[in-house]
Amino acid sequence: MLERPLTKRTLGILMVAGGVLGFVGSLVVDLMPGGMGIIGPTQAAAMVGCVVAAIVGLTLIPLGDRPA
Amino acid sequence: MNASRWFVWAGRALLALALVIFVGYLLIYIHYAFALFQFPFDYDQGEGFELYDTLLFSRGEWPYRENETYPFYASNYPPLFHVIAAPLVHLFGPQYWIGRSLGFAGTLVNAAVIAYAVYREVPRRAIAAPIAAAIAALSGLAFLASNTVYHVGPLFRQHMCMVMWETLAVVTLARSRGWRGLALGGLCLVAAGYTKQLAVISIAAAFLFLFLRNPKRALIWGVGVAAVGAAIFLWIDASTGGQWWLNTVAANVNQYIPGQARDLYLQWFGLHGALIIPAALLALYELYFDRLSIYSVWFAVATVGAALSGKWGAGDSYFATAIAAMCILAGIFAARTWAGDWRFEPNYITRLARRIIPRRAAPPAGEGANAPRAARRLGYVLVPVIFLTYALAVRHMPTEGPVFGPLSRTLRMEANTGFAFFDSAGWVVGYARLGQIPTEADHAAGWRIVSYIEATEQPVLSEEAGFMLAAGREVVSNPTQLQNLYFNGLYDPTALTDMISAQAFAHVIYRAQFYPPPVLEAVAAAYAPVDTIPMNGFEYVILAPKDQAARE
Repeated sequence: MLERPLTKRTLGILMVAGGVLGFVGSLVVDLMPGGMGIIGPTQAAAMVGCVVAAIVGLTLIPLGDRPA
Repeated sequence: MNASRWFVWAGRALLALALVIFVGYLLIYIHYAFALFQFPFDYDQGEGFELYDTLLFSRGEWPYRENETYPFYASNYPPLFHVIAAPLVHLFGPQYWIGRSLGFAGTLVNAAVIAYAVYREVPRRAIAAPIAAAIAALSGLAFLASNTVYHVGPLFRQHMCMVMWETLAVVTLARSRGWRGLALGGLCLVAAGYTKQLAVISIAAAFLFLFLRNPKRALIWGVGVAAVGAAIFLWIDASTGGQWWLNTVAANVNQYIPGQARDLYLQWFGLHGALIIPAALLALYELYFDRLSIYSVWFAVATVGAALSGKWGAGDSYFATAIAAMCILAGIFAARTWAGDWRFEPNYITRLARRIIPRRAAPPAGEGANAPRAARRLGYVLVPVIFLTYALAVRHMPTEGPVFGPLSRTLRMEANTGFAFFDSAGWVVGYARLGQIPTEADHAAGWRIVSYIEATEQPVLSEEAGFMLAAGREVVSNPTQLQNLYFNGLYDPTALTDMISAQAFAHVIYRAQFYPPPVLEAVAAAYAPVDTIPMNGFEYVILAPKDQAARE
């Protein structure tokens, strides 16, 4: 399996997972000790990037087994 | 003449016009580069320290040193660029033209590799060889015409050589099937990483692409590249007693300024949008209707990675990798558009498009279904218009001289930079104020500063290394390095401030006052200005011990 190209579906799932994890991770950073408690511009940009990645990932899932 | 032939000839004529304009940009670039080769002082802040690093390597010494003892000097850059230049410095002495010509040559190689990559991807059956060659040449020349590449290319800076290694690696990996090509691409990436740390972005892009194609092979390749990189890293770190880690990794953690990154992104799009849009369209096409190429992955990762341009001390040069990727993708987009070589595999997007868009205008679907004739006709004109629009956006030209004076007036390009130079980029924080041709007054100003150093036997604390090297004196301190380390809690400036308080330096030469605050305070307490010398738009302030300054 590891020697086959990734499919569009797999890439999409990975992007959704990465986007969701990145978004949650960006929020959790503020809950850690020393966190600022507010969303700064860099953090906001990272969160927007994660949302975009997840949305693009969702649009790839229906493309099925075509190689990515 | 039928309508199709009319469009073909109009397209060819416009392509020829675009080529003429881009060759013009190349001539401006060559003129600027050769002017800088003749300028014997720092043109961009920090060039002299790279020259000094090269000098140290030519003597067989590491530039990764203890910062807290005299001469308070260490480099924060990896070694490869300086190691390549070292034999020339050994032969000719510490001359700026050596590194500047290497940087310039690196950009020319980069442009040639971009052109080659585009030519290799041209659908040969559907496009005449001269047209393919013209589009490939335009793609390479577009790289050199970029305002960013123009003003950073011929500097004694390692950045553009890093981009050259990255481009060589990506173009090698693009079609590598066997381990030999993968190894060669990997070595080019290691070379890029040991030219400048920022290459980690391209290494990530290459790994991501290889992972998409064959995860197992990518993991083996990644382990191999990491092993080679780590072995070199550990060797240098052990050889320098840990100073390599401190000076090239820990010292590079700088303050991040989101507004700087935002403004640089907007400027980048404003200048390069005409090629960014086709590059992005090709990447989207590959994402939904074809397989992702390494160029699309590289472009996407490099564009995201350019966010690092928001670091203090970073700037528009951080977009150079994305610009190289953009030129390749835009070139391939142009070639495929000229050839009408677009195939839309049926999927939910094409089905949706057919419902929304009238049937005749909808994209063709299925194997071998190329663009309709009307779209191809449009493509013949669209392709040169893309490059011509880009050429208009990136306008830059000296505004004085026997050729450029009248030409710039004819083209209504008046100096807008504070120098005899027009730059359509305008200015935002992080965009280097470079591009103008150094004047006779700049040369004279540099030698006047050197005369202050030559007039004393005592050490001089200069914010630029070039004056010290021109005077044949030891370089003392690397201000930004000391500042970065200080702000990261990794530098105690006591030894340096003690020397300043004791007025051990005959002069202090400031340009931007990038020393750590305690050093600036110590200088303010013990020294006073005796002269201010403008050079290249910067005010160089010469300071002397206060009692001496009072006498003068």
